Amino acid sequence: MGWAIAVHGGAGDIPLSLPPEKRLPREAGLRRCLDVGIAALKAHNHPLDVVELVVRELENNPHFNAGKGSVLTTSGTVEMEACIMDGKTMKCGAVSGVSTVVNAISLARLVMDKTPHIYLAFDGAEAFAREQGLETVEMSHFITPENIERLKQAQEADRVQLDYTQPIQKEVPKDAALADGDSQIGTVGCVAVDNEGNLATATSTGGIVNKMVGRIGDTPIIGAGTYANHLCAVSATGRGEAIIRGTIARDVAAVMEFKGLSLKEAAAYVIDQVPRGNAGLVAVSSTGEVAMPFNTTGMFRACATEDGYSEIAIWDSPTK
Amino acid sequence: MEASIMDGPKRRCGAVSGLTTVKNPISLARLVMDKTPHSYLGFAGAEEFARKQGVELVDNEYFITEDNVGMLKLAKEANSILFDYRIPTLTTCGGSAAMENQLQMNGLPISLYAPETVGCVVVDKQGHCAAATSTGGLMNKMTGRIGDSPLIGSGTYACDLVAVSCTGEGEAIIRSTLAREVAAVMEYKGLNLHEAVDYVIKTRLDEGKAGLIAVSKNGEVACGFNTTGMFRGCATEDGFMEVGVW
Repeated sequence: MGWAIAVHGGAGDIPLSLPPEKRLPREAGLRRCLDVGIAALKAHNHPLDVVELVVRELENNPHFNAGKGSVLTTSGTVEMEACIMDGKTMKCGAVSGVSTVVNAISLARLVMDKTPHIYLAFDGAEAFAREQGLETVEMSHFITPENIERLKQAQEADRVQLDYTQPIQKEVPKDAALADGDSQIGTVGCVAVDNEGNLATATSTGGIVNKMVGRIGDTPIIGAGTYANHLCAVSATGRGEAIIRGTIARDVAAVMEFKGLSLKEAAAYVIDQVPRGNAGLVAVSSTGEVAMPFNTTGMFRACATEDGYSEIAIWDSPTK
Repeated sequence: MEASIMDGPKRRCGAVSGLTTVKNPISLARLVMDKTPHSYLGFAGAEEFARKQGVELVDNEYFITEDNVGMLKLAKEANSILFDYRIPTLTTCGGSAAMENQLQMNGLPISLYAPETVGCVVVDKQGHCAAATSTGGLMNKMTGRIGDSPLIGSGTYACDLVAVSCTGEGEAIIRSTLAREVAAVMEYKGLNLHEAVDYVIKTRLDEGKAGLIAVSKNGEVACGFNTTGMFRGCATEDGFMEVGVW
């Protein structure tokens, strides 16, 4: 037993040639968040508080696709979503279509704690945030120049893909890394377990670049991008549509329960079922195991366990 | 209003939430599945998509019935959430009577219980399953509240083996990922349809109240509920037909 924590900053087609100015800030961000989470666990904070805290850090970091630094919709706006779940009580909270709330994960937590519901979205979620006195800002706060550029490139790629006079461009796969070396997809998440086996998970995202206004991904869907029960806590990342149809987060726990697999085996099994290049996840079990499998080129991730093990990685072996 | 639809063979899915003028939310969910690279659209974005697709739109008043206006008033007086079920005795108990008999949902009081989400599951001769669910949600719900009906794996699910549509306490259905649960125990534990439905209803609902209908790729049909009743009907090719409430 013993506590364990795992964090991710998004899985995707992260090219091995990612330049240092893009790689280093994210590694530093992961390191910082891991430290924050570890300190909180060592101070005996409940995993629910730990995962919320860590995800808030990631949301505030403009290098990740959540909170500040969220990717943009096709209209150039920000629509954030987040989800949190407590493994022991199975209580959960989720929000979508949030555009002014500084920390969507905290709003999701309030939905869980302060309403009879699980999931609030768009205007209703924003109104609830104000009612609860959560910090809100102008939407421009979340928008970074990199994301404006990403949106431009994605819209260009879309347009170019339809332009049959440019056959070379037509061969570019839809999810290819953009010219600046960044993946189009990403999310942030954190899972944690304390040494009493209390589990929690939290996930937050801006969605996918150039998404339709109103598009909801896997992150706020319990069982898809986020799930925790008495066995494990899971946070997934990747192409939302694939994670939804694969009920990824739920399946890790289901496979552990119904097939008796270990966390690592279950997580690897579930990721294997998803078409290559589409998903990754971080998970911890009630007994303090950690798993961080992905079938994409890379996944920004970090983990630590009470026995002193810790790791920060982007690429390396696909199943860990 | 919200809805979702799922096609078993490739587990393609479509869902919508926060609709106020689309006459048939389920058809919009179908269009999300068929005509967009996404699985789920909500609120203004979904309504805009509907406009662009040219689906039938109506004024919000079209959907509102006198009964529901009355129920909302009662719910507000009782300061609680109602499942949108009408029973005559409701008129004989005023707000205070409702307060005395507090059922709880998600830790907060609800006045009455018997939900009316709608859904349908179908399997054809080739064993292809599909599921669809649609709802107005909870009476007196918070604006922007999303329930289980549009959530794949909770209110709706279909795969190679089975198609499921759920109804009941949305929040309980979400926590138990009820629809996916039926398929998961069939897939991972090898239970047949009836065993799976029984097992899931009996063991996965904690204090929550819900029901579901399901069909399997073998042409079986099953339903289960831990509520007093569930409005339902089913039919199979060999001539079996049934409509039931309790």
